[in-house]
Amino acid sequence: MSAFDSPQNRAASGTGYFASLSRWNIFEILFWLALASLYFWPHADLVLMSQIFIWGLFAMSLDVLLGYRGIPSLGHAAFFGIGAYVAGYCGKFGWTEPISALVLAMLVAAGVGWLTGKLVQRVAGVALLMVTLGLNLILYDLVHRSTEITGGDDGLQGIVIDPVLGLFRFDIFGRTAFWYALIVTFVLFVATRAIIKSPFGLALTGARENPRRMIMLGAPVEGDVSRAFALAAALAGASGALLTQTTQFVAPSSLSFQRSADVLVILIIGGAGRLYGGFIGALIFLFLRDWLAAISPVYWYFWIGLLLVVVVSFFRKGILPTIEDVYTRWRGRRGASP
Amino acid sequence: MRIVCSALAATALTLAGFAAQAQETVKIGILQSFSGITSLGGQQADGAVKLFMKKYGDTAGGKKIELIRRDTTGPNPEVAKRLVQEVVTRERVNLLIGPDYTPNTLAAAPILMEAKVPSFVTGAATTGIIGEKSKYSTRTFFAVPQLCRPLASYAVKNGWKRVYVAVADFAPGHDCEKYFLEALKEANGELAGNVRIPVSNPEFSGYMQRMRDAKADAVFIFMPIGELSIGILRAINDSGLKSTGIKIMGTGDITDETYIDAVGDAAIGTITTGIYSTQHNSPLNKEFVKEWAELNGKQRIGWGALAVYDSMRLTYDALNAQGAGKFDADKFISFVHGRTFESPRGPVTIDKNNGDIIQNIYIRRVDKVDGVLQNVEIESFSNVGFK
Repeated sequence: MSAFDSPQNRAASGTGYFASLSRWNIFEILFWLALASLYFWPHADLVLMSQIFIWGLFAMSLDVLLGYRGIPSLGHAAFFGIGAYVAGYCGKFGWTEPISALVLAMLVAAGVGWLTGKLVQRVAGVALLMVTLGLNLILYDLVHRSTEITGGDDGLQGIVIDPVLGLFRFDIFGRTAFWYALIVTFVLFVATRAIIKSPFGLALTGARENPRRMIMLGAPVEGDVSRAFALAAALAGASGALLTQTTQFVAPSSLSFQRSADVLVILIIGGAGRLYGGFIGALIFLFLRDWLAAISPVYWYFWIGLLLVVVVSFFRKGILPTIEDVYTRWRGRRGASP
Repeated sequence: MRIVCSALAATALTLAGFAAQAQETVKIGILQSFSGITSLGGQQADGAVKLFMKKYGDTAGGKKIELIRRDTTGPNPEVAKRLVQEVVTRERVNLLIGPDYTPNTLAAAPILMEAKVPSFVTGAATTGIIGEKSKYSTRTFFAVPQLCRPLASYAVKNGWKRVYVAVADFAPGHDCEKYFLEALKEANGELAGNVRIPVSNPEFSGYMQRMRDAKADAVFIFMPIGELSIGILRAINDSGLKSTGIKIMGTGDITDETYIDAVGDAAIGTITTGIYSTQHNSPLNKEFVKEWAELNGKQRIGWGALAVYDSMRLTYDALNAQGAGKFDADKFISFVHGRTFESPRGPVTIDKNNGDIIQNIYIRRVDKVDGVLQNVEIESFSNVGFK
């Protein structure tokens, strides 16, 4: 390694710093390869996998708000639901091409997210939880009670989704759903990763750590809130649209409070502020839930509750950060001993 | 030694051969809600399946019955559809009892059509969800119009011409309201007023006042199963509305046997429509109620249990009719659709063309029988259709 390339030099030049931040490491590449290889496992439950990707993407969208900007939200399912219903209406009223419908769902969700950000940018702490929760509940009730428009409790009927690219029909084994969800999730992950590792992402983290200082540095803290909300909402909308398209059905449960709570649990288990935390959390939470519920359909809530308590007490910061700490300490010890 | 060994091996082989023959199984997926606030449905389904298999054994048509239970967690189409895909593609079930709830049923329908897996709808009542788009489905529950229409003509016939209508403000409530208002018009009744009550608002006193001001002869109520039904009957009693002599009518949900004890004496006199009461007077039902009590103890019998029990009945009959050979979904459906049989609730017919249910609907009044609150049948409408 030449002296010119030393970390100090890289840190000195801004672009070098961001370039080093956004370099892919071996674990990341292995992680995505491992996800793709799940397809080839014998007897794999592909439908469950595709829903894990969708939940992972959804948890990552919350991570943008909570992990990077430090905004807790108890109403994140609202954006998921908006995406889900937009995709549903597209399929119902003849816009059956899935990819463009997905993009439309993202745009609509992003718009609503941006407005929400404007609304809550001066609110902080517990009040923020209440406002986001309130918005979620209003939307839920609206959908639940407008039976003529949304089908209410019974869900939206008559959704038609074309084969992806005109080639791959959504089949009952979930093969298309698996690849479609994985590829969309990966593309959005790469985009989000680039944004988070950019100066904008750094400014978000700065505002999380010390907003007053960021203001003194001249950073637009309040404006960033609505942008972060728009980004998070677009991702949540995409995951909602993915769910609608892979299941070809949408019901009010897609924007229920339960979903907002579940996604928070998934993110906290996995570890916030890591991008991968949501995916790890979704993998563990959904696999456990499916496995326990199959073994014991009546009492599985007890076991999952117990496991959550165990996970949270052994992995205080979440699974991914704890493993990272252990790994760094192990590397450090090995490096120190001659 | 060697001879003994080979003899043993030969015996083992023959036994294995027998086992392979006898092991021809039919897998039934039981997709019900086993956990959380909706877990009553799962308990009832379990009770019914257990009772049926205890009585009729675990083989039908020479095939062993194997059950695969999965928890739909309530009205959750995302989970329900995934579970249906899972049990159909990986467990390779031959038929399904469930999934429950309308959104779950709708979400599962395309898969069942594509995979040609017969299913029994035991927990969804919305009109029109059975038919062309789900040729392999059979409803053993009921359809909303069956419960919501008959009370209109009954009320008018009894001289309660002015009726106030109160329904829960969600899709099934809107559905029921539509059918009742239609039937009321046909019977030349008069609408004294109507209101939609939010499902997340248990405060009823304001609505009681409105019902009182409307000066109606009777009130018609539709509420979802559970605490809202308990709440509204109590409120009617506590607000003094009941003592004004107004008739309280509704669908059987409000006086469901599984929680009528929680309403208490406030429920007495309520008139409801129902597909089944444990008081139904037939030898078959008396036997059913007795055996249920022996197996399931104090738990009372809900309509879901009955629907599951009848689904098992149809399944066993169809398998017996099919006899040996591989399970054939099309033969199964052509046997079940169009069939008439005697259920503990009375005679039941499965419509030949679309698999929906035709059954007797009973008008019942809540009374105390041997110190226990019961829905006593006072009148019946024969062979009520599902439209």
